[in-house]
Amino acid sequence: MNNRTPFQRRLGRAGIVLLLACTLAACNVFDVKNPGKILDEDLNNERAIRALVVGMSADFSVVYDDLGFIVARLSDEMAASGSYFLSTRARFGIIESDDTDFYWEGLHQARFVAENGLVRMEDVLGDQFNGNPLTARAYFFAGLANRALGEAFCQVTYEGSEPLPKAAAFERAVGHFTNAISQAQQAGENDLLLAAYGGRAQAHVGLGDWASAVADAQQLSTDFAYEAIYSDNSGRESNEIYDETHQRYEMSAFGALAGSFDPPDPRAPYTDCRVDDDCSTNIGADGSTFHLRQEKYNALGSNIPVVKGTEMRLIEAEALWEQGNLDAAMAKINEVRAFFDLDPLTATTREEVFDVLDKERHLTLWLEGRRLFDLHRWDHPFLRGGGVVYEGIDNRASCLPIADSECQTNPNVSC
Amino acid sequence: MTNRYGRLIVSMFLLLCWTASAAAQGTITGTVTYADTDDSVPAVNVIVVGLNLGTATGLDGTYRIDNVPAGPHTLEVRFLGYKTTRKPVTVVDGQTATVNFSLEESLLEMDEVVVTGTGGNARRREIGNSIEQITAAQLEAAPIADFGDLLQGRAAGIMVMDNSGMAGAGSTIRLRGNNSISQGNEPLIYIDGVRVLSDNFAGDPELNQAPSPLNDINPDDIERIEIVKGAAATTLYGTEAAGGVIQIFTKRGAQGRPNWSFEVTQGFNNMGHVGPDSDKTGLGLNDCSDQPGCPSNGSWFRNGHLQSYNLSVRGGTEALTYFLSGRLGREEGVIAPQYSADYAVRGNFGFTPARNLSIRFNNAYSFRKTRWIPDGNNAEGLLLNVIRGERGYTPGNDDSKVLDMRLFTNTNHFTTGLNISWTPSANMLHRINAGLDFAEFDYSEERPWGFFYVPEGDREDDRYTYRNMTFDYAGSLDLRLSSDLKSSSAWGAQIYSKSFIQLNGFGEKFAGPGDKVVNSGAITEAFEDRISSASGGFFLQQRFGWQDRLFLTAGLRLDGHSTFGDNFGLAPYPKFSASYLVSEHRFWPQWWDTMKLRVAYGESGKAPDAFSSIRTWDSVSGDDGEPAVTPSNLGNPDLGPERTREVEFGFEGTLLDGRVFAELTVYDQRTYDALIAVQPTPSRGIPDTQLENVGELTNKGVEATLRLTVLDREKLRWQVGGYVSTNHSKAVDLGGLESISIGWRQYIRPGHPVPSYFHDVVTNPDEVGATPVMEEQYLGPSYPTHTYGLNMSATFFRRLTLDVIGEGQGGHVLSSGTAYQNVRRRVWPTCTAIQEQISAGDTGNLTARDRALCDTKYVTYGMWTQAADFFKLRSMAVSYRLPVRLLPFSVRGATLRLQARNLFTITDYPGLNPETFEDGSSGALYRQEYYNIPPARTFQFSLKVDF
Repeated sequence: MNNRTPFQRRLGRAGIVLLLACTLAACNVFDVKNPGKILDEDLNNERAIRALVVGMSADFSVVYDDLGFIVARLSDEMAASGSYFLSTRARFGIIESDDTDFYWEGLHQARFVAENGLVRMEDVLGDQFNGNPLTARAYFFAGLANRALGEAFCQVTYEGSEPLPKAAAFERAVGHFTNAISQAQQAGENDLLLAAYGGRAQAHVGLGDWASAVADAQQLSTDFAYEAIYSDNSGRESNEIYDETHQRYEMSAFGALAGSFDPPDPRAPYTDCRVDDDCSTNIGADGSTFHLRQEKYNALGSNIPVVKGTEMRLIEAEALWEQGNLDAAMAKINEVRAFFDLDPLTATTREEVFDVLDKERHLTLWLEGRRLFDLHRWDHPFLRGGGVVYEGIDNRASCLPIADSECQTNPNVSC
Repeated sequence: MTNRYGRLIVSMFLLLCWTASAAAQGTITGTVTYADTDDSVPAVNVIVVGLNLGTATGLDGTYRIDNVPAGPHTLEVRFLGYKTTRKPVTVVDGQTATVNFSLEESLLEMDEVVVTGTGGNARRREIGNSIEQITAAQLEAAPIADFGDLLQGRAAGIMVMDNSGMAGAGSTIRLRGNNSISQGNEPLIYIDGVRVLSDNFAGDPELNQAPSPLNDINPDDIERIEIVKGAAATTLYGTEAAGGVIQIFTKRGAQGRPNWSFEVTQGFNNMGHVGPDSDKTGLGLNDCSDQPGCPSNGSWFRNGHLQSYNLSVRGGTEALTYFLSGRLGREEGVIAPQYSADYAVRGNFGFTPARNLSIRFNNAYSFRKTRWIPDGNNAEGLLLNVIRGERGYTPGNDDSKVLDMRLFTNTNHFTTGLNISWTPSANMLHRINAGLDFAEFDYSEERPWGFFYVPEGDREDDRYTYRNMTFDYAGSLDLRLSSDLKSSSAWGAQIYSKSFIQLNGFGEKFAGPGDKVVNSGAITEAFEDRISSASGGFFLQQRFGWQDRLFLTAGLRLDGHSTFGDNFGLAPYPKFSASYLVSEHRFWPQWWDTMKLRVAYGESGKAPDAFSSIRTWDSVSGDDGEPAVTPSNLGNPDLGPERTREVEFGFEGTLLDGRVFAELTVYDQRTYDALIAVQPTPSRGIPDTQLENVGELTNKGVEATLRLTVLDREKLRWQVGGYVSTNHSKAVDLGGLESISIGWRQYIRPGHPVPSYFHDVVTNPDEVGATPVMEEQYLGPSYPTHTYGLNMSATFFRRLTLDVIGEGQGGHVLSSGTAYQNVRRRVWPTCTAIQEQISAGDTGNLTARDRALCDTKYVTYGMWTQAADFFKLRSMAVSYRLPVRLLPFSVRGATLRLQARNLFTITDYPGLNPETFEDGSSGALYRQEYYNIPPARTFQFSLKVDF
């Protein structure tokens, strides 16, 4: 028998509803959670700076192997023997604004992460900013990203600016490398110091300042190398060039300079998949080009050199060639060849020496993302209809145009 | 972070508690049967009009209503697909009155009750928007392999595209096309009031298809489906409902002794000729007898055996009813060793603890295991390697080696829901739906040790856990304000919470052969992702009805969502609608039975992704495993939902004594504040896109349906019908962007359909002996701009029924990556002769179009992006109800069915199949065909026995 009054019954029902409501509120029903993310303000912490700087290195590595991959296909380093949409364009020497978003955005991210990170580091580290090895490294990657931007792209922009000539990127790189040199000296970081000198030498080459380039290059011994780091630790850290040539078949040394050596030049090693059972196929993804598989990067974790003493010798050689000192130039070239246990070469005329220099830079810097800029600054004959396996167009692309994503969002730029 | 809207919504909830009571005397009994067969109708509601009294028929079709007040009353029976029937009855104190009903089929019934998007129970006459209903009887008339088959070809405005011929693959489902660029266009799915996972499970580049969680629903459990297609109808569902709502109601128990039903189905999947007719080998798939690795039957295709077994029982008492079911199925794909096997169980229970209180407790669990074959844009894909012939990747052209790869998905899916309905008085209803949809999906991909592509082998295992929780309260109060004017008020509050957990493991470089786990690899990696979000909202709705023929409805939904930015408040979604039964006026001609004019306006939305409003960084690794950070999201504190505003108007009616049904709807949607992934200026440093409410899209169309009962006689009942619908979307504003690429040469561009193909095509096609001049052009929309259906049902002697459903889609284009890539490799049959001419330098008589299609120097994807119009005979079924006199003693009924699906296709599309899709994940907006297994044909035979 129910002897509660109507008011008591209503009160009881209201209590149940109230209990339900309190339970829902206490359970934080309206929380949004995504624990893998780090809030921006949480990085303003001294202990987070190392991860920030490693992030600079990682972001540079993420884009740099892809840059090496496209440069190899666009230039005469490799035959674009794949089936990717971009492979089919690159083999003819065609690349347009809507093909370059990834490289443009990646390099600018690497640049921004380093440059903006330095602002955060200065704020967070205070007195510990100067002379800090992390500071030196951050400046180095800021310089390196700008150097790569300048070499790869026909023009550059910063912070939504109007298009600027390549020189703007090289000048920005020189500034960062100079700071890196200063910070590395204060921190006693010798490898970083030499790498910064080498990076600045590369930027000076971009500016055509041979005296400064040689002055910096001379700081490095021939056996010095500083590398962008790759790893099989994670997919993000892996070397794309390895993946695209060993696990896919997107480019081949067949028909290229590297593929003309038998046995291969030690600087441009490859496996001829026509005769080697180690390959899973002997044909590229285009279904027709024999697969000569590059072995310079023979693992997902193969690093890519960004500054090398051998390149410094070739910078010195080119500066000497520019001055008309051909014998001295050949001597520098043969220093490099000796380093690789290769026989010395001889050349006497300006054209012959250039031809040697061209091939030596080609092979020494093979698949390091540098070749396209050499073709560009030399206005190389390959650009006029040259091709590897596939016939190229006249006036092949020698640099990447500003990306479509910049054109769409920057009112100062049109594609 | 706790969203402040939670407290607001909970506070509103406190206002929504009501009390009342009623009493009764007397008894009415009777039986409800089908008019055409005299079979009893179980579980149909019989109510005493104007009183809070009623019951459901038992399994034998009988009913009993006790304690009816003495005096004259009206009894009413409503059943979907049949005419609402009313009969007078006079109850004498202490006596029992008997009233029997015989239900007649109806093409349109204005008094049938619908609940989806209505705020409470509403009769069709009261609703100002179009609504589609599919009954269990309709579902039985066609073979159902997956959820898409439930909807395909059924009604205007519903587009279902079969993506793949692999057993277990999901379909693409759209209601009125696309109205969102970034937030998906899938409809929300509810089962018995509980929202369930509606997106396909995660896909993978190895198989390029994704299983659908909706395929976990046992078709035999479905009682009916209600579909509302646009924002005008889904307003009360608030944020996330702009793509429409599909609500599935499962079968219930009924009073009476246990009523068993058993159905066994046997059949096979079959693939017809693939590729150009001129190639008798079917691109090496139909006939591979001269190829290495070819199966012993000389074809890569087989007749894949399918079988299923369904057992169900329903019964109960006055206080407790039950429906229990179990299913066991296995379907082999058309290419060995592909298969999909499943089992499912359901237990639906109904309690009636008090005369005015009904509690339903619905539970379903299913398990599905599918073995896939590598497919699509995949160097290890079977079709890619077979169709490319010697230009594929397999060593020695032995394509069977790709089948060594082991690709499996396992799904555990559990859905439970509690529905409480309380009718404290005849004019008041309180309803609570609370439920959980929980799915665990496991994908494993293993290249065994010695696999040709990765000799040392590798294994990936991805575990996804989805949890969707629904709490939904709705109340309604009907008041008669005068003899002509009636008021219906509705109110409610909903909370919806979802979480997603993803764990991925990867291991590579095995030491030797044998079965593996991820950590068998010398190198291992792991990933984890956890996202949870919630939304809450409440609504108020008021409807006035005048003379039960004119109805005006206004409503407002207010929503909060945890993914909105901090600066964004509640999102309001208003709705207005009117319906007018003009046929109820005296001036209306007698031969025109019913005619309802209707118009509806409403808004609904789509919420942004979790954390889109906040600036964040991702944890990554660098320098060979050192911790590192990288920019993730720029953040936008002003972020809110995108909103779709829709106006629809039209009519529906029947003529000639219910023999003709006609319906017409015109809809006009405008999505504003559309969420666009806006690219920040890359040279400012953070290139990742940020969602912004800056876009605007339109989406318009017409839906027309006509159904005729041509003959309705003892010997032959013959019905034919058809529908046509159009859908034209257009991007109006992309927040200043000129173009958004969504991949595969498809873009969102202002002034063009969402999305559209753009690519290089020949501009001088008919010039003979000329070099092709190629130029980028707009090629057409990626999705059909029109669909049409034709259906027919003929029943002979009330026992033998022939059902046919045909469907066509068109107005769109599709890119055949298969044809393009094969042309480039000089192995596409229709180009062979032209390529031989080109090789011989004999190009003088070739048109520029010939060369642009077949010359490897000029061919583009654009040239192989062509009209994808098609018509398919979706299903044909013959059913025979065995005479009871032939059945054993305890068997009440038996039906034999012979059914076929996708019997033939009419199309000029030059690729594999106009429905084939490279990415079966429902979130993908683009369409592309690229070496994917086309949809298969199905033939099956079934026997269903009731006992």
